[in-house]
Amino acid sequence: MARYILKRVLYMIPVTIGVVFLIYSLMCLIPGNPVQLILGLGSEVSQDEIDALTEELGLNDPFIVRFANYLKGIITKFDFGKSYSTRKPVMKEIMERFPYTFKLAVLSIILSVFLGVLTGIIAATKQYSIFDGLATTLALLGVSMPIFWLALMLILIFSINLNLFPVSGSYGFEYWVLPVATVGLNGAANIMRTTRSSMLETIRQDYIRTARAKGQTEIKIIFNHALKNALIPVITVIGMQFGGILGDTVISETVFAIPGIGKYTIDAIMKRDQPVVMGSIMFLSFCVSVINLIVDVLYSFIDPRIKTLYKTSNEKKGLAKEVSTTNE
Amino acid sequence: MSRIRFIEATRHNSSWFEVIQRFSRNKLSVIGTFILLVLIFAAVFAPLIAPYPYDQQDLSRAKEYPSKDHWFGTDNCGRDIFSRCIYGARISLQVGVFAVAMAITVGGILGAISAFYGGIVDDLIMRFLDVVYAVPAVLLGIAIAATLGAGLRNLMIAISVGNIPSYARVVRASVLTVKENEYIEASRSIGASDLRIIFKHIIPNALAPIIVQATLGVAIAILSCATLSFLGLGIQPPIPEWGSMLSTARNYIRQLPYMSIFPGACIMLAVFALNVIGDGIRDAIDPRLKD
Repeated sequence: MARYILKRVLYMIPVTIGVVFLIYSLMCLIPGNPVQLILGLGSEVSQDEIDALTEELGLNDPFIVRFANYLKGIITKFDFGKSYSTRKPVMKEIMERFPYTFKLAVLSIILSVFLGVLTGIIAATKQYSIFDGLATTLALLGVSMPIFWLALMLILIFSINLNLFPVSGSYGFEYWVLPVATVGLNGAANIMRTTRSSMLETIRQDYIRTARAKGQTEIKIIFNHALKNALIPVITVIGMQFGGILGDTVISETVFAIPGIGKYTIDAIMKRDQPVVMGSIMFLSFCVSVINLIVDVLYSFIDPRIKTLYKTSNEKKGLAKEVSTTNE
Repeated sequence: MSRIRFIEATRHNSSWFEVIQRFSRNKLSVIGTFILLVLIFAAVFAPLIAPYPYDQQDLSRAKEYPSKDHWFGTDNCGRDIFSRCIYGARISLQVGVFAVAMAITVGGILGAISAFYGGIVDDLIMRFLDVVYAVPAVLLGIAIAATLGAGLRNLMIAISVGNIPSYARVVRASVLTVKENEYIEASRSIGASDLRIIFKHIIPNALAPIIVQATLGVAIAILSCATLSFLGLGIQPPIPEWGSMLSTARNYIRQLPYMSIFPGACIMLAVFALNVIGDGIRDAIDPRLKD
């Protein structure tokens, strides 16, 4: 098992470096001179000042040297450079905003999992009922709905018409309801669809029929036998969903004016603040990679097939001995 | 020889006929197909159907609620929202189809080469795609759109790049399955070139999952197009793109709520139609996957 985890962690290293290279290269292609952006277009600046800043930013160096320095800064000092507009370290600014994005993402995923898994189970156990039809249609509409439109509709209904929640901001509990609902409901639709189909497949298995024949109650069959197995593909979807949710937080934060990393990124794009755009996209991508790693490891603990695949030869011999003793 | 060919052709046709039959029995997919046909019709004949030109401003009738003259009302500049929604279908479908076509072409070629040659070629291509896949699609789209700048062509590129890895993976998996078949070995034994084997035998036989992925992909591309335009990184006003219309409407949500409702409903309708068609095709091709 440790071998599997180590393999996954080691594999993350080249992928992360690749992501840094990809985003860095893309950002270097953005037209415009950073020196002019920092010093201000059209302002009266001496050539000496321009030269000094160009040297400070390393813009005289070839691309590959700049990239190597940037990568070195990240690895040794976790330094993503300085913002062109505020001249503060990007990492410091990201860390100030991270709690907002983290809160939004975690609350949203909790809502999606709770709602998605629960409705998925009910829809599967009551297949072809009114609830199943309604839940399936709503989920289908949910995955078809653009997230920013859902946000606008929630604002329209709950903030403007019913006056229940504030339109924007991030001060108290009531400010988080609509942003979390926006991201969470969208994610719940996907999780519901997967849970339903996975449950439907599981409850048709022979061992469920056996459990039923033995007289087990329906609740016990669903929670003790079916759900355990049906959740394996659902966990993969939840892991994949987290990446999507971090992407969706960009939109939710922009619509609801939450000062998280997503809004920070979009504002930076508008100001052409390359280090901020680079840093925040890399940071969010890194978060997604770490979450995927956790999900993969979790998955391997839950799914005995993966566990067996990575068992050491001694463990396998022990297992074989155990099986032969039981057979005798 | 001709008899064998006839039997083969009939068998081939009948399998597709069965797929069409199964697809047409799925009510939701038929509804989706109808909605999509209406949208395609609207996109093609927009100048004939739309009651007003999409950019015609009439400030004396600005901010009017839906009425007999303006079914969806007018926006802050006095433009007819119904006409703009019709023209919007043109942009969204165009971006969706072209972005997916680009992603399929590049992803398909990479996936096919990767699976066909295997070994180090496979490793190199797949590791590169893993890097692209590691960045969430929305963020990659934002990064590319920010680099290339706004505009229709740039938007298509921004959306397609993020989709390349998923098509490459689907094609790779399909090709890996197909290439083990005996007819590929037979083709190689009679001296067919690699390119001929890939394009003549492997791709046509690995097409089914790609069609499903492409249909669902167009839906995702339409959503991405609207999202990037909403964030100000895609199509810019006054071009009537649904996402950019919503971006403007957001500023008037208190006074003119209808401005936000209709363009969003159009996006949802288009994506819904493509999603149910994609699901329908998948179930029709492999009925075991139903539910």
